Amino acid sequence: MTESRNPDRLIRAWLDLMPSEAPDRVVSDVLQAAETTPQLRALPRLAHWRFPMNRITLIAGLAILAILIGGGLLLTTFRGPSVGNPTLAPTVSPAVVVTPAVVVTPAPTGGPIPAPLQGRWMGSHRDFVSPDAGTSLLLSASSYSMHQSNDNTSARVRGDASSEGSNLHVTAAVGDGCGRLTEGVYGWSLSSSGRVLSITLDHDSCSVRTRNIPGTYWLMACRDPGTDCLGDLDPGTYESQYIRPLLLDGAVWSPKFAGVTYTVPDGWANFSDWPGVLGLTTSTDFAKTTPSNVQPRTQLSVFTHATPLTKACSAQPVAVTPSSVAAAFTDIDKVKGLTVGAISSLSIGGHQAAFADLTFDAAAAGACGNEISFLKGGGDTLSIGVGERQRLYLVDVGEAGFVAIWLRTPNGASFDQVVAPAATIAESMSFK
Amino acid sequence: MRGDREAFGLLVNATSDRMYAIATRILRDADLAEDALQSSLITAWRELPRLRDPDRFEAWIRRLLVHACYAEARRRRQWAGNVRVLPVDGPAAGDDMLSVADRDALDRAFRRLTVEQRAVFVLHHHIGLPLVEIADTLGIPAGTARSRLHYATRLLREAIEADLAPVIPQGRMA
Repeated sequence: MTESRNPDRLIRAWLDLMPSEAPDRVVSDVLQAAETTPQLRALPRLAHWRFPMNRITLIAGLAILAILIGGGLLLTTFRGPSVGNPTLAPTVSPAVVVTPAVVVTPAPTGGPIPAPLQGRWMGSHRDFVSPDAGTSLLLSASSYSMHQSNDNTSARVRGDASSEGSNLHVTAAVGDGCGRLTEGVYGWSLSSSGRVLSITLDHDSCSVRTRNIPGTYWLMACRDPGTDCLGDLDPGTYESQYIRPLLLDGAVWSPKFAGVTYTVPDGWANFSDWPGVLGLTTSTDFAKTTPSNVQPRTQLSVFTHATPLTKACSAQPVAVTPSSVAAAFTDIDKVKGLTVGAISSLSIGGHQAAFADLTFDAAAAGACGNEISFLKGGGDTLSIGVGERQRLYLVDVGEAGFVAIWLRTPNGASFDQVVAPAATIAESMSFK
Repeated sequence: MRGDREAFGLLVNATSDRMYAIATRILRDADLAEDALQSSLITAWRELPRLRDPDRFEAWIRRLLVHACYAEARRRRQWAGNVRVLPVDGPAAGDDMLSVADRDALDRAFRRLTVEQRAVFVLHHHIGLPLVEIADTLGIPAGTARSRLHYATRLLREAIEADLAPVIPQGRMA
């Protein structure tokens, strides 16, 4: 090996390749910022302990200190019952401040963002993203950024963030046009589950931030690394961020917040959200999914552009689009081996709809095996296997065709267990 | 206060290039390095009155910078893909002995290091700080600094040595 090929020399040469001159604008930004940024007060120097102290004195001193702190805690705790939305009661308590007898007031410095707040949060539409698109808010220990929901690679607004009690301080923003040191202060509260974050304006002179930061955010706790979804849900009403049930078939997709709005009781989770599919499941089944196995056994999923298939063994859709949900069920009933139960009409989200329970007769399916397909939707094929019972809702959404809401469970017992809450969720849905 | 700002301006001008060099090497990303530099300098300005020993300014601001790099690196992980990677042909190019393959091998190996390992490696190999001083700057035990440096150096050496080694064709493994 020649000297010029010495690994250590190569490593040093490689390190030298990178730039070593700070851009002028960075330096000038900092100096400009110093013009308007207050400095912290110098900490007072503590006098050294000069008089001798025996163990008894030390214990007595510590006891007095403990009493003082305990008293302070009691005073701060007994404030009477809190009033407000119980679902937004903060569980990450702001630091309890005990006022000592002698106060050295520090300038307001923020600490790191509390761990339960750190993560990715889904927000509704904001004016800095494409029309109708949702947003995401990323909080780390020391920064925040806001993105269009489907574009996490480029932040529309980002900057430093810190926390002080139940306040969120944001500074040094990029993209808000307010200068790097315009500080805004926002209040936050977290639901008892840690899944719903509420941010309210305290004060901020930066209008871009005041328009966009406050609001309700939902924790994105998706297991599927390919998409964004919410994971476990608190009981309540939620909006999707990607599925477009009213988009005409073949039209160019773009994200739309609240394409589907749905209400869930306790014990449900959102396991997927794609342009053509929205997936819900029970929390029990969601807990069994992993990033490499994202499909839960129980699913209540919404599919766009649903079309019956002609044969159980093929993925060939019917040649003529059914004229109504009843006609669509008639087509589905022709699939060999599939038994369509009684068809019930209803209205979902103001649209004409119908549902029926499905079972599979393997003997009648012939050569199709233990599973047959009967519907295409959202780019997927819906099928039913031996022993399964399913419920299918079809919703007529006009020019965009049919939306399918499909309850799939692994067996009859599971079906009986979830069909009632699933029906409530399905019938709560609205589309836009 | 005006005097403070002027003095701070002098300090910034005197240290910003060196700090930026450290940040770009730790983060391997120009945007993130700029953010880390800016953030650490602004923090330095805010906290300057609390610096009790002016002789420790250099170590103190280096520590602020490295912590800002940690924060930026965490942000980078969360914004996977939001990275403007430094061009392979950096401004100090011209070292003929470093081939594109060498750079690529080192780049890939460096990305496998944690930001904490990178920081120790850069402070040692680029700035030339002894391990004791690195440990003091970063507030970590000297043994931790040593192990981080050892791991990082070994990984990069292995990367470059693998690249230097003759290629032996291998059959498909069963």
